[in-house]
Amino acid sequence: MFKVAVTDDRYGSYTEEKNVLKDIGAELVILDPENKEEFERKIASADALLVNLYPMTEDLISKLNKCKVISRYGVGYDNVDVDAATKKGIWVARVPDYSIEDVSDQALALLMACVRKVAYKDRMIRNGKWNLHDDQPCHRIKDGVLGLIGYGAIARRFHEKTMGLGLSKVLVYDPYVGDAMIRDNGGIPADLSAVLAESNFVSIHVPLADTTRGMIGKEQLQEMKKGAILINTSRGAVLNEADVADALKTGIITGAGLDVFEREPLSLDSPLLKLDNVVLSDHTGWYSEESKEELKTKAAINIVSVLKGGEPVYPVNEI
Amino acid sequence: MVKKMYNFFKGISMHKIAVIDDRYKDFPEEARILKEFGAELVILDPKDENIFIRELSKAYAILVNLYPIDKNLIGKLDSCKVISRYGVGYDNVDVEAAAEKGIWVANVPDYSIEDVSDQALALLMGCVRKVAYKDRMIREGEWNLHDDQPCYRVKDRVLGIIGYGAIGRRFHEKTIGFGLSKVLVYDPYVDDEIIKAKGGVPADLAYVLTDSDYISVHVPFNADTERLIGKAQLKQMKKSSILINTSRGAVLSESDVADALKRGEISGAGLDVFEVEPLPEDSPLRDLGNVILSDHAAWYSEESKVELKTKAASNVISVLKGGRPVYPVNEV
Repeated sequence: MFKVAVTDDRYGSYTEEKNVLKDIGAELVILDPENKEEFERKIASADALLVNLYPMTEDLISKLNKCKVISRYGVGYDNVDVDAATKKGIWVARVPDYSIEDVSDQALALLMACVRKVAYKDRMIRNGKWNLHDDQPCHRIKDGVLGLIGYGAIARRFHEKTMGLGLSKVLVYDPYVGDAMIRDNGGIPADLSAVLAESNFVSIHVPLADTTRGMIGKEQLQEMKKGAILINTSRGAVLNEADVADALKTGIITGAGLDVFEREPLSLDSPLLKLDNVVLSDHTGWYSEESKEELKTKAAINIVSVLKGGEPVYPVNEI
Repeated sequence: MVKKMYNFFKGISMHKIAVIDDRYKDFPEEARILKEFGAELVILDPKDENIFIRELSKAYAILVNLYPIDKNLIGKLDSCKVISRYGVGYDNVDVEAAAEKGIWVANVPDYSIEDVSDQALALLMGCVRKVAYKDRMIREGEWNLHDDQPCYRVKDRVLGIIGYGAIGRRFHEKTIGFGLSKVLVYDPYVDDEIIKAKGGVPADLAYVLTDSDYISVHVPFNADTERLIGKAQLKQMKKSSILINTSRGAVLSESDVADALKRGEISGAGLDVFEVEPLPEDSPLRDLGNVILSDHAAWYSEESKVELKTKAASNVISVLKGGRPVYPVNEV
């Protein structure tokens, strides 16, 4: 009987996976990385892995004696050493298309929360405060400039969702997307400096790669408007988090909505936790009940497809 | 005591313009406009009753925010020609009593359309994605909160709008890119054709309540809208629904809303306005994780504040010059 192991348990229940795996009579085991010895023993004997955010390093991959496919729950796969997997003849697969609606909803929610200071005010009111509008000035969305960094499916959907807000323009930086396509969607192609310098709101929608790691740091934050709001629902390491915290503290930018962090869960000594002009969420942009079902089903289908002798539905390497 | 005075023409007899409830830390817009007409701005503190009443009786005009101007108080306004409210609603002013005493009542109806619709949207998205709850929990050291309160996609949901004035319409426009399946609109004072032309579906209240995933309330407060949403109406709503109120607190029965949120009869609420403000310390809403609270802040942005203060003062100037207020709500 095939053994399929979940490396890191973020869901609690696995109905969708079990439904899909039933087809090949595979058994699903949920591993606990904290229990290292058992974790390594079980992972070594697994025929396939379902991975959430656990780092699949070269070292760990070398211990996978039977594994045919590592299927990641999600779009990004920066936590998986794809080259190491390829060398060992292991497919790496992902689910690229399950959370476009959800991440764009989250980006909009964080943006609006930063604009209207929603989380801050809710927290302060629960602490007995009132008349908070002098603490953090609010400005209208109307006539603001939105800047999008990265213009894949999520950013385009986010752009669409802002259509009715009355923004004066939407600047788009994405060196991999043609200007014509940006213009067709009502955006203005721009280089990174122009996006940073002119936008009131900047939302990041890039994958994590060597070219995007740390792409927004001290220097880029200095280029931004003082009243600017920064939203990140992509990957934490795209920002230099310490620089963002500094910029928020010193008023170089006015607010940030962050769903992703360099280390997750966010460290309890993170300076971000002490800032009132940041809205924090727990890497939840991907999630809705609809997307969770879709994600779990599709991640399991990648595995069934390989264990039946074929390719994953969404491969990220070639074997 | 008199907290602050802007006295530009010392020694000259001039009109006193009283600001009743001090929600702003300064008054440069009012002062600038009133200065041109030699009027003096006096900021009063209602807690100091003797001085408060004495100064009010001498005031030529009153700029008021949320303080109740009842018949009794109006009876004491011996010199007042106009009561100009900082805001759209004027339910805290006894308009008839003012009219009987020959006092204009004025409002500023058009300064915060963008801002209130921004706020309604922020509260809605905050409820949809549990933004305030998650931010609060993460600051307390929690993580992986998605099982606490399920989230659902905005796409294909039904939005219900109760009240389709300028703010309700602007809010509707702002949701145009969301992919909502339909927008139901209840407003007995607006023609179906207007609603349809904007892409909405005219509906009665029961239809809005039973079919909407999100309901946003945009009605003025009056006898017809007082407690428009109470126990019976909340029971008609979907269990997964989210209720947004940026209009007036008493349009909802607040204790019924708190009960419905606690029992899971609705899944969330974003409330900017309350029956009593500031929200009392013992309000059951404070203990609920599925509500987002804000401090009657929807009217506010830096842009709207300047516009509001300028326009509220313009109502006074207009009367000072012998005319009607720019935005009268009664006839004198």
